[in-house]
Amino acid sequence: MAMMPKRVKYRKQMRGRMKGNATRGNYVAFGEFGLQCLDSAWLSARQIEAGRVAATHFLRRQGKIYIRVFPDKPISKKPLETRMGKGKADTEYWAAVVKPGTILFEIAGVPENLAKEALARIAHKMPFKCRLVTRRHTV
Amino acid sequence: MSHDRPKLKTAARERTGSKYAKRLRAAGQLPAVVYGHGQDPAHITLEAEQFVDCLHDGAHLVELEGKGETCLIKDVQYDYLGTSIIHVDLTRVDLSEEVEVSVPIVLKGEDRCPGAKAAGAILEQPIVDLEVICRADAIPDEIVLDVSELEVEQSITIADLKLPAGVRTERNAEDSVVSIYVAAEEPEEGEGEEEADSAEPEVISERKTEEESD
Repeated sequence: MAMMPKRVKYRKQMRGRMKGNATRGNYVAFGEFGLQCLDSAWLSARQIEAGRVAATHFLRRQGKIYIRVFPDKPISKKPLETRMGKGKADTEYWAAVVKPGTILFEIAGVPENLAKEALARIAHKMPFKCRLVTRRHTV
Repeated sequence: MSHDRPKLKTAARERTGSKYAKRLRAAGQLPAVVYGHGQDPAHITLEAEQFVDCLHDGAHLVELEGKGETCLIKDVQYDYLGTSIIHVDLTRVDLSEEVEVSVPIVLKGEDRCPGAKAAGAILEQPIVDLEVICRADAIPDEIVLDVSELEVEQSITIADLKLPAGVRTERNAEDSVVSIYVAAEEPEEGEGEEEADSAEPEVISERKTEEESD
């Protein structure tokens, strides 16, 4: 089931700009390995779900997958062959706004080779370049 | 117990600010600050490669060449991708004083753990690093935790940890460090996705206006 908020304050949002880099959610916090986004983009709920399904199918109930992003932005789209105007269109899908550096998924409890393969499969489903990252050093 | 303290080459940093810090990083150096013990903070530079090696070795304490001070690595700032270190905070310490540091918890006996071998069982470690309080000269490298006898639906809490002598923690004793549980089966394919996509969330502002009109 695709992710979306249970309650929202307003039905529609302005598009906004995706400036800068991620200053939060940009390090591996829960698992041992993570998938880091290298571009700014809208990541749709379907794409997140596709990534989750790809990893779950590959890992076959081993380990734990953490999803670090949530699609809380409603994206509206006018129907085809519609003239301009007549107000803002209805919500088409929900998306998460991700910036370079955001950790998208994390995996814990599986060996490194399995985690890497699972994250590579998720990366194939993402609409931007990603890279694998590990936990930072303890200080 | 604790490492030999690595000696870091340092130089005083006369000019501060992002422009000069960027130039230092390009030259293979790291901007850092040393503070504590009631003295004025000192802006210094470190050799980046040397400092990264220290971190890889798990060092907490370092000695600053020239200054002859022993310092604790208090904080390390990374760039937005987490690939390179951009700044280091060092705090002056006496070896006899107590310091608070994070120490990694390393699991032992995972291969022999009976609970982890059960079908669908997941060994979860919510606490990977533990904040401990101990003397600066007795910081443990790691805390080893034996999980070879852990069964399904069992967990090891902070209270069960065997900390070395002179080391204590202020974390809640009931916090789980390691646990094994059988995961509920997640749906592999999105069932009823069509319905979910068309469903809309509740709008709070509309509900309020309806209540007001009533």
